[in-house]
Amino acid sequence: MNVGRRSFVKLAALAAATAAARPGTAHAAETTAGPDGVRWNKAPCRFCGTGCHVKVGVKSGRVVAIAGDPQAEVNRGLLCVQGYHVGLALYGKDRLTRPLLRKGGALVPISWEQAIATIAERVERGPRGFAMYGSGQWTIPEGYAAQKFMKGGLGSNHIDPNARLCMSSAVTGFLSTYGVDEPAGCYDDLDRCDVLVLWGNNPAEMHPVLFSRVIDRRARGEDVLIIDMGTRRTRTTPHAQHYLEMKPHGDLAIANGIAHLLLASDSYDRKFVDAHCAFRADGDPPTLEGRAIDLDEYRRLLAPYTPEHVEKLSGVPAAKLRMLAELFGRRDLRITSLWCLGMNQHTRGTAINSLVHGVHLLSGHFGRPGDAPTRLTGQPSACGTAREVGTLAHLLPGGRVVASAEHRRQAEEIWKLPEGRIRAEPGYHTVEMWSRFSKPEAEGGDLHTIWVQVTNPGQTLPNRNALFTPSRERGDKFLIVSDVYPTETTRAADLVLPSALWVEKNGMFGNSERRTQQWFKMVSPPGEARDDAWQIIAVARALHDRGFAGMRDRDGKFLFEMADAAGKPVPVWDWRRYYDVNVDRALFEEYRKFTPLKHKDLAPYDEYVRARGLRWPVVQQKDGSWRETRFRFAGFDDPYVEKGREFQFYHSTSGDGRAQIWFRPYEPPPEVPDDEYPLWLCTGRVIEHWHSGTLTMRIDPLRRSMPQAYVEMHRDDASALGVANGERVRLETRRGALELPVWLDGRGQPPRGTLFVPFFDESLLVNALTLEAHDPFSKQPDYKKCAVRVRRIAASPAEPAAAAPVPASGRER
Amino acid sequence: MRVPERVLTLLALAVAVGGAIGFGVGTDPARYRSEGFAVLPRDAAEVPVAWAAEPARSYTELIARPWCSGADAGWHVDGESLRQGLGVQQPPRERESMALRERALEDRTLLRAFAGAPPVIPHPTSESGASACLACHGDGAQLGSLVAPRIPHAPYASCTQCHVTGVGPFGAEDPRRAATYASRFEPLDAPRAGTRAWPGAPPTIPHATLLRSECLACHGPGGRAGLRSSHPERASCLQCHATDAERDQRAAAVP
Repeated sequence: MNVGRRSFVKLAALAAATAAARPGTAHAAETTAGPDGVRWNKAPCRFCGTGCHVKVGVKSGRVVAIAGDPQAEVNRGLLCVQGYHVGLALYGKDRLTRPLLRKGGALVPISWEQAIATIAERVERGPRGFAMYGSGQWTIPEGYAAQKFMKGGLGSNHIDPNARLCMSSAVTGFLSTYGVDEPAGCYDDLDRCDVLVLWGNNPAEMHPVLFSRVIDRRARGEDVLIIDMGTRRTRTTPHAQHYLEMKPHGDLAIANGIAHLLLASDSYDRKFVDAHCAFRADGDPPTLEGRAIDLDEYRRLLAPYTPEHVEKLSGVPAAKLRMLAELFGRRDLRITSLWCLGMNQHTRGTAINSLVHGVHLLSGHFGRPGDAPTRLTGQPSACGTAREVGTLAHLLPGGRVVASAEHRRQAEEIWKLPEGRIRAEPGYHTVEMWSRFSKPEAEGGDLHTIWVQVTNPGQTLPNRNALFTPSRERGDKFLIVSDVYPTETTRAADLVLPSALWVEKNGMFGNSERRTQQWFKMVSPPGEARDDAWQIIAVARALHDRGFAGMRDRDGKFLFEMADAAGKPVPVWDWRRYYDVNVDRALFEEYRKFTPLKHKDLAPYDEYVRARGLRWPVVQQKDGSWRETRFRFAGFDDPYVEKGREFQFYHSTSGDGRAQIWFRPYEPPPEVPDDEYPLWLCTGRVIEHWHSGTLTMRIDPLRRSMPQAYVEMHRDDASALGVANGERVRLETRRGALELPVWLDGRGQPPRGTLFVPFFDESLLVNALTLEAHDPFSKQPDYKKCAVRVRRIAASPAEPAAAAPVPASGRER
Repeated sequence: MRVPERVLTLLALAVAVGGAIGFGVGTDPARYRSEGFAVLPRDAAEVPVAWAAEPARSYTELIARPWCSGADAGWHVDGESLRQGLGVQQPPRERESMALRERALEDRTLLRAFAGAPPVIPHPTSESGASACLACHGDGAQLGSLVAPRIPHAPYASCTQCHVTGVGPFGAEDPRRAATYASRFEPLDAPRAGTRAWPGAPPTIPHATLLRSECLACHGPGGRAGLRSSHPERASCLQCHATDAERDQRAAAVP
């Protein structure tokens, strides 16, 4: 057959589309290769929650190049330095390629059959003592499989993701304000806002693509006023017209101060508030829903928050606070607030989240494009998997909670489980889970096994000496870790499972703006590494075969039964058969049934194959097409708002379609500097590294640019201490100590009395110092502030880089 | 046909005024000086006085006698190089050879993880934002033998979003760390040459043009020897050189 190149491209595209539409085809990444032999296919980036689409270039079975995807609405062809190098993350030379079991102190290779049997035995030892700890990097189908395995199969709610440490206060903020999780607006707000208020946020480094979406507007002649509120100067600050330096927890006072001034000057949006809002304050005892109050009481509660009082609490000058209130008081401006971990990793995280929503509601800066309280997320599927699939200890899929009998019944119906299988009592949240895992059984340590997937708690748990190390020193606690590289967690594990990463498997993510994304497997994982979802299904099947009743539904069928297009069962627990069907599609289509309850409707799998992500609710139109929703609760865009209404908060906690404007008081931080520990310590990220650095440290250009952690310090504090730039110092908190080189006038510039340390470096673990104190509602700890002292290390003028410790990678392999 | 005298007078006047303006503008040296490089020592003797216009050659002439050959071997485009801040120290053009191209591509590879990756910054930087980068890389600059290449895309406000420094804040990394985290990544190699429909036809562009739209940044007189165009005076590259839909990933290849 003589086929011209053009028609060949067409044929190939057609073949790919047909393959994608055929349910039996697992990976339809069958695109044509260009003249250089490279096949390009789409995938969302593996790193943060922005959800950029990258194009992955594959040649001879390996990822060889990455490019920005011009068709993606999120990033429009642009990426950040992490995104451009995401493909290198697959190829560190120390990829885990075989299951490893600890024998006589060392990790030795075993077979997958032995590994799966070992996990099944741990479950049989007592399913209620078996916990799973995952992350916002689980794909949607993986998280769904884990959720069903634990809550539906084991009848145990002890499953929680690291997202608990990263965005659970955002969840409680949304719930207490709107009665339902996740934002009303989307990234389109960034293209339209006149004012961008950053609440302890550094998007220039942490969400660079979204930040450039704003600042590049200036090059097009548009005016954007950027106000940077924070506890230190960052790379974002030079782009802002105003830098409002605040004391830790000052945000609580500032938000209340703005609300106070809006009422005092009568510049709040009376029309919007009368029509769409109600007021709330904490009751006794405090709950997420609180108690209803009226405007007068709200006014009385806010009365102490005069600009002068707020200045005293926050350190932000009264005049600057008035400027903020005047901006919010103007109806002609569109104002977007951005925040991420500055507000979420906060012992009053729920309070500050609901207060910032409240400022936007009170001033009517809500629901029009550009008027939005917008929180960002740090993981690619913190929203899609942790929040929507509900892999948190108290949730069921689709916004359901285990505490509700109705919700449990619905989940049991979809999963075809016998009544009462799902337990009503929420499982242990992250801090509780690891704290119980650290204790002997007699002292409440009722967890004997934790299975960790796609995260690195050995490095990222706060106060690791209390929450991670003790269980490793005890003989009776078994730690299972699925990961791609050796980490602080795998090195301490009893069983290590090698996992497939990113485009080595099919996947779906959900980003910060409610956008659900899909990709196909493009390359094979190395050695014996296998998909996380397969690992779960294989353990489930092993339990099923060993007679564990929980792995059968009420009809006696296996929980993860899958069939091909002809209806013939496919034993997907057999790795050789795993890609005979598209397991992702099967899991996702089942999960979809959960989503309409809270109006988070998802489209069929194949719609996502065609799109660069779709923002939920995705609702089918009369012509059969599927339409995404950009602005939730707004009558002009959200199909679930009743016709003729401008706004409708259809999951309102007051049951009348209103959003709640909260009063929550200022409270001091849990630990403040004193004579013994006189400085503040803040922790966070840098643009070169993502989370615990497991992937980015193996990407040469990123690691070379930022090879190790450091401590940022003010020049005056350094001269008082007598240390020079690059000199090593010792940081000490009540929980631990760490030696680091000082970086003066570095990436960020903290004020006097504040230190900053990034957490990516596994050889310089700052979480030995941090505090596990957490928010009462969200249970999210505060990594952003604790008291620290710093000492000069005598006689250490050595080369700081050479003096830095080297990670003991492969220590036990 | 009789042309009214008034029309002729007006025409003559227009030509005279236009000429006068053109002369004034054309001789104003400030118009040729790139802003921001006034600090560079600029020896008048080193500035080649070469903007006396040469008659354009026809395309047929160019085939037999291209620019930069024979008597024109030392010719280079001063307007362009001045715009790039490269008005001084421009070496005589070397013949662009395959060997030079290979060396240029090798040099480029040192700064890039794969062909098409954003290059790392081979010098220390400050935290002062895009203006500091654009001071040299906006138009390109040269100081002695050091060349700051012009950026090949429209400027964005946050350069450090895509470009990181080649070494860390405390110098090169500990080699033990580099060994611990070593990579087995095999990068996409730099493209060599575009395709020609027939010998002598203008070659297609062998790389994606997304974020590489300012061709002369790399292929102009300020580019690396071996990659430079023989005819940088022609401003519209895409007039003759086609992009490749597949390399540019515009094809239907991606679902």
